[in-house]
Amino acid sequence: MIVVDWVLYIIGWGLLLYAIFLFASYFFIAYCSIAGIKSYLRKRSVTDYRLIATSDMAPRVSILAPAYNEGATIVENVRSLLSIHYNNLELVVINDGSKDDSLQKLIDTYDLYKAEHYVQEKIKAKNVRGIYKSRNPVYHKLIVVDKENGGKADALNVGVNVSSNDYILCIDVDCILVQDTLLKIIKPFLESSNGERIIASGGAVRIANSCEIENGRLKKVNLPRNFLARIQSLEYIRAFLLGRMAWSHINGLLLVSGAFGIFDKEIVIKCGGYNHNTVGEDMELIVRMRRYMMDRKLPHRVIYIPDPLCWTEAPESYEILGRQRNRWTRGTMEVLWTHRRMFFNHRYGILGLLSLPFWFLYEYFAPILETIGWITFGIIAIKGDFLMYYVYLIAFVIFFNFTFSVFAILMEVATFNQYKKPSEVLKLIGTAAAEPFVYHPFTVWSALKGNIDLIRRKNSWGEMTRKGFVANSNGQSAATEPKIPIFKQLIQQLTTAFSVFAAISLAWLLIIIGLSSYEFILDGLRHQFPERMMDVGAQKLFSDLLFWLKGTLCMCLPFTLISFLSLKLARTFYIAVVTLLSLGQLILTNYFITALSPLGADLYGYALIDIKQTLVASGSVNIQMIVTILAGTFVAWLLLQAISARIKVNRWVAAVAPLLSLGVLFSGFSGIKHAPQLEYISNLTLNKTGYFIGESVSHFLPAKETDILNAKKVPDNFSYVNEQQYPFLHVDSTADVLTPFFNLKSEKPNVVILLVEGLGRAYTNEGAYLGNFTPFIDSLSKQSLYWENFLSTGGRTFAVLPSVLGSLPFLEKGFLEAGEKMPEHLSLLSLLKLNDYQTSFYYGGYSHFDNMNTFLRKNNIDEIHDMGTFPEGYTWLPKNSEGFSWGYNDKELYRLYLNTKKETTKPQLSVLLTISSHSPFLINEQETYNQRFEQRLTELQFDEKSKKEHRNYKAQYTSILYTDDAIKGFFEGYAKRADFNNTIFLITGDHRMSEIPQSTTIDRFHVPLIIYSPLLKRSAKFDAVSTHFDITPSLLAFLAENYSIKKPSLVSWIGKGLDTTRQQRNNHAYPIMFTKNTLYDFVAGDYHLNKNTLFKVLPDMNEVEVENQHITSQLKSGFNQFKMRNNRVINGAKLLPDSIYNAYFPTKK
Amino acid sequence: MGGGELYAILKNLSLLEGLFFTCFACLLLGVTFTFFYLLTVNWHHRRKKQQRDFIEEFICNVILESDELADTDISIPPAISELLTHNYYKEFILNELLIAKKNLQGSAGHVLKSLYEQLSLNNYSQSKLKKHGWHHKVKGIQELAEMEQVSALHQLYPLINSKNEALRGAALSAIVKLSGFEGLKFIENLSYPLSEWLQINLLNDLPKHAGNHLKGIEKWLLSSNTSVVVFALKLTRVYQLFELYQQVSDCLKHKEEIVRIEAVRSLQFIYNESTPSSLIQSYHNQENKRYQLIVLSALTEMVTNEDIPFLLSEFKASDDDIKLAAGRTLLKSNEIDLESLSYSNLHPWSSIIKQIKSEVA
Repeated sequence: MIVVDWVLYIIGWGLLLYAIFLFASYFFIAYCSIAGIKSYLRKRSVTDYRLIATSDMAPRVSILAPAYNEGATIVENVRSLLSIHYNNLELVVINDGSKDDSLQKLIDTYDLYKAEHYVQEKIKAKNVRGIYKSRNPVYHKLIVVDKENGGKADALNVGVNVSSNDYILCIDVDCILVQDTLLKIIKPFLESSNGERIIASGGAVRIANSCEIENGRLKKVNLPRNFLARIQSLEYIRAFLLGRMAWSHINGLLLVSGAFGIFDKEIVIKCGGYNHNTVGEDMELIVRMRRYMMDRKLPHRVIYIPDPLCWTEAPESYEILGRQRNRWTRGTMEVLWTHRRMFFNHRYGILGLLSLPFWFLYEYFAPILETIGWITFGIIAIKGDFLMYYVYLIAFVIFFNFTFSVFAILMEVATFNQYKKPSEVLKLIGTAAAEPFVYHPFTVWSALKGNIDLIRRKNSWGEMTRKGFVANSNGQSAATEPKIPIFKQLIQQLTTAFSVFAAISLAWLLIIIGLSSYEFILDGLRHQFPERMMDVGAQKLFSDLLFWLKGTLCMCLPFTLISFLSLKLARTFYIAVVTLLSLGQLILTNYFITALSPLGADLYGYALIDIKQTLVASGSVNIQMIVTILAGTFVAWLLLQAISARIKVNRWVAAVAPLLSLGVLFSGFSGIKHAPQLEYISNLTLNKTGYFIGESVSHFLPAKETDILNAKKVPDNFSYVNEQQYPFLHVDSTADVLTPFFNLKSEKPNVVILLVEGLGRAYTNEGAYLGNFTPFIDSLSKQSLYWENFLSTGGRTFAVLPSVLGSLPFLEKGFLEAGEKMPEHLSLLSLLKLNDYQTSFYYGGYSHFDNMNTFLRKNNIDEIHDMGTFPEGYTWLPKNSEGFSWGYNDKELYRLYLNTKKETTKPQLSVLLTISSHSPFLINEQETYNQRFEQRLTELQFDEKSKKEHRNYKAQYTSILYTDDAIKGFFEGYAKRADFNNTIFLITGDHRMSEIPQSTTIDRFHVPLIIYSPLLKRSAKFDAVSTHFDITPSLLAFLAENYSIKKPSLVSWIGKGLDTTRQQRNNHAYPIMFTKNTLYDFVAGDYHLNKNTLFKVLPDMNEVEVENQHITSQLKSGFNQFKMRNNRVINGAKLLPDSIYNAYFPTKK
Repeated sequence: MGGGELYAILKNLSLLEGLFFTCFACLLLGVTFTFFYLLTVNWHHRRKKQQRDFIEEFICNVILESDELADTDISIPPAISELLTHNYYKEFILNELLIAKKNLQGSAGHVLKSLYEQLSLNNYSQSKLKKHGWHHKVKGIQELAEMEQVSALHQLYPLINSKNEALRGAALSAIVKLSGFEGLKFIENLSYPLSEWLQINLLNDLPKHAGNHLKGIEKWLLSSNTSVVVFALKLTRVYQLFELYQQVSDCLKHKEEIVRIEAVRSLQFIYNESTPSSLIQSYHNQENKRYQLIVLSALTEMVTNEDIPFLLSEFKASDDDIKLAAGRTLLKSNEIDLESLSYSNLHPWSSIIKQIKSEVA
């Protein structure tokens, strides 16, 4: 199981455990709240609260009501508070530096005068500008404090300093208190008789939106008509009726609402009052008061009254609600952090052991965990593993939450029964059903934003705009609310969002057209414009248009969802994504212009160091290119901003547009049908970003393969011995096809294998469709065994060593990529060494590239000569503009070989890998070969048009000429040696050069194979198709037949052996790995399967796309069989049994 | 989907799937039940509105005709008798009678009591004393007390030692309500504390004038139960029992702060010429700020010339609350002009003096 799977597994179990604990805690809360409410209601039913109102013995209470810019409603609010039925009462209204006329209105209405009042600063606070009292004895209870602005906490602290009574009731000035509020909330302070001091008490806060208010008094309770306010009503019922009641019952209450709570003033002062450094000052005070009492081991309690005593206005817009929830999150974390020492500290009893940890885990951390859960679910959904269990879990969580909400509604109706109408109850239940989908994600998002703001050290309250309770014509007030019905509001919001979305999408389309043109023109200028320019241009445009359609469709949903939170945010998000995609397009375009093939998932198959080396070597990553890309991205961003702001799309048209995209995509329209064309043209017309994204998705989320045991067997003529344990192990039945061509000596022949970088058949030897730029190799082929329809097994160099020397499978990203974890294997190198051959490897670059040295070492090679071991006096390839060179040129490589390889009696196996014909195609003697190139063009009798086309790739062709010349020099040098006559030479290309446009897909792999030797009886040309996989089996069969070399009878070769049939045929069925991450090609018989496209291979190795479901299925089946075996080895199966490996691996050095 | 198909599906569920399904089904059942309950609960309440209105009207008529109905049997409509067979309406009638009785005195109260007895609601109230839940018992006790059912006293005595706080409080309160000061004798040997709430209830239940009926308080002032001492002190204050001055004064030396504070408060109402010196002496013996403030406040009513030096020294105390309290008392004494003090222009005295002068103005 890979790391990602393990992580998902752990997260999944973690979430399940979390959910189980959460549900258990909900049951606990429900049980405790039922017990607490039952006890309270029973006590309430036998209590005459009026006694407190009239008794002189009743505690003296000061109501503290901070006010900031409440001019619209403050007079009514104060009147409402003054009408509270309680004897020993004082009302302190603190004007916290209001910028409006709040103070003046109070002065005018209540006949206030500035009194002399000495304010003792028991708690440090901002300056008090004046204390006002009323001349009217009716308002003798009222004190108004005017102070400098300092925030709510500071205002309350001033209120504490000014108040003269023993208990302080802290409320928001615009809260509506019911008549007997004070009586009910003060009673717990009177009941304490067991030494337990009541230090604070809070009551239920309810939502007043849509309620009827008259002269500051609640006349009739109605369920809020606004959806958002209604959901908050439900939330408050759950939180206050269930949550707080339960905590109060077990004396673990951490919080008394900042809108309404009564405190023992003495303890408040001793604790230092409200903390104005936190936005969660209400919770922080309670925790600090409790901590104070616990530190001194003073028994105490914080009581909660479930009676709906205080009614307040809830936010009706997402913006204001978001600010509120943001602030609550920040406040919660600030409090938890401030009192972190109490966590799991037994000194603090239930508070430290239960309340605080619960609050952290289920109040603060829940949104973060939920977000992680949803991301995990998304990944699981795409991967498909354990999907149903996650779906069950999510469905259960949602339904459980709904049930809990319904239970809360039941408790409300069974106890205080504020919403009596059946329609109101139904609406509440409906709201509970909608909450998880509409409201809850928003609160999670606000909480996440709160965390971000917390990290950014943002500590403001934000603007909490309140509408207030506005009187209607009957003198009654009702909380103001929007007149537009919720459904229409939703439609309006959606269509506005679509309009903005469409404008940005259209701007994006213009940018895509611009980028498309840029790519087309740049490619034409760098290389050549295609013959059918209009046709190809149209294809390209359609391809880009299809990508745009898919892209807009994918972006539509997240944009719409984000727009519900904030349209501005959604706009920024979309523009950012499009800008990034444009940046990607520019990068990928430049890559394509250089490499002439689109970048796909092969990116993930290379180590960073290899990528860096390749980029530097190509010389294409330079300041100019970087500046171009960055400038292009900036321009794209500017255009998006400017154009999208100016385009006005009709909202209904915009709403319909995504449906059109969906329709086009579902119709299966994939572009203009075109005649068969060059692979290169097909690649040019691809949308590079879409291709890269598609390839990446396929790479990270590959389609499930069918099990090998259930796969339909396609016979490959191998006798497998134990497919479960050794997927590739079979009886070696390779025929010896080479012996008939050789006059052999008694001594074992030397074998020299030249692996030539980029030697493609397209420009090599007679009949090459791009022209024969290898005159020497061509002449040599006429004296050799020559396979002109030979295929490499990889599109890059990574595949050549394991395929040619070991006929080995690809594993995950090429055999070499496995590094030290390569499975044990036998190869030509190890087997010939076992049979007394001296083995060596020569390379002009560093052999660690692509883990070549690891492979060679694991085959116990005798010598490695690479860039690091070249002695002084050898010449490098010229360096590019970045100062990079791949290493020593081919002529120097061969010179080194001839100088160091001494003639011995021991047979030699030498492998030489060249680099001169590799990007950036800089060669020594450049001018000489430039002239040779022009000369060759004439020799090949090209017309001017063809010459001009070839000159676009002059660097590439000159490097081929150079390479050919180097090989010529090599043979001339080798021929002077005595062992020349007993040497067999093999020459093949690792793959065809990609920097010259390909005609077909298979062209990339079309390379020549030449077996030359003075031992040959005759030359022969074979048109039958063979591959790199076939070389080692055939060579070993040949050597075994004639020299009795020791080799195993059970082997794991992929190849069956070279086919020496003259006519073109293909009796093989092989996979080909294009790059380290793309195993898309399978060649069998006369067909070539590339992804899901079937090609028929023609006699000259050209190919045409065909449609034949039967053959496609057959090839897919064969391909799958290989993949299954390959996967088994990736997952740990061996290639060979230990007995065979140990018996045939040469252990001596 | 038929039962057979459903069974087939259920049979093929894995353990985890089965668990999910079971939990889901339970929750669904719970939600369905709750849904129907919510829809019907208020409907029942609304359905009975007519009957409730009828009962209210009946009781109103009884009250209005209370003068005529005194000492006569009240005619009970058959409908009321019919409704009384249902506990819901019986409870409703009872509550209406209680509310009316609490608010009405004289003949109306008497008629309501008669009606209560005539409707045999006294038996109903008494039956609550035998119910299991404490809240039923408390309700019954309150009903019997409110409706002056003295005959139920013997049932209440055993309850004053109940483990349940609400129950014993209700019983004690009811006994006091039914037997006046005589009922207070039970607090002599109380082993549990009297909460402030209970004290308020008892004070409310006691007659407004003590006369010669309030006996035994001196023993209560010496009780080991602090809350009894506090309650006794409150009684001396409320009923202004001058004869207990010495005992109250002795409480200034009590070990519990709450007793000392209550003693100061009581002395405010029964003080004599020696009280200020006693208070000042106790002031010096205490370093508790709260106590000191209460003493200073109490001195406001009884301050003499001899107390001025003490007050002046406290007016210069380090604590501003003490300064303020001492200043108020000084101003009330009229013996000294605060503004003539040498430091009267200094902070904070200048502000304090201004404040307390404005309070008086």
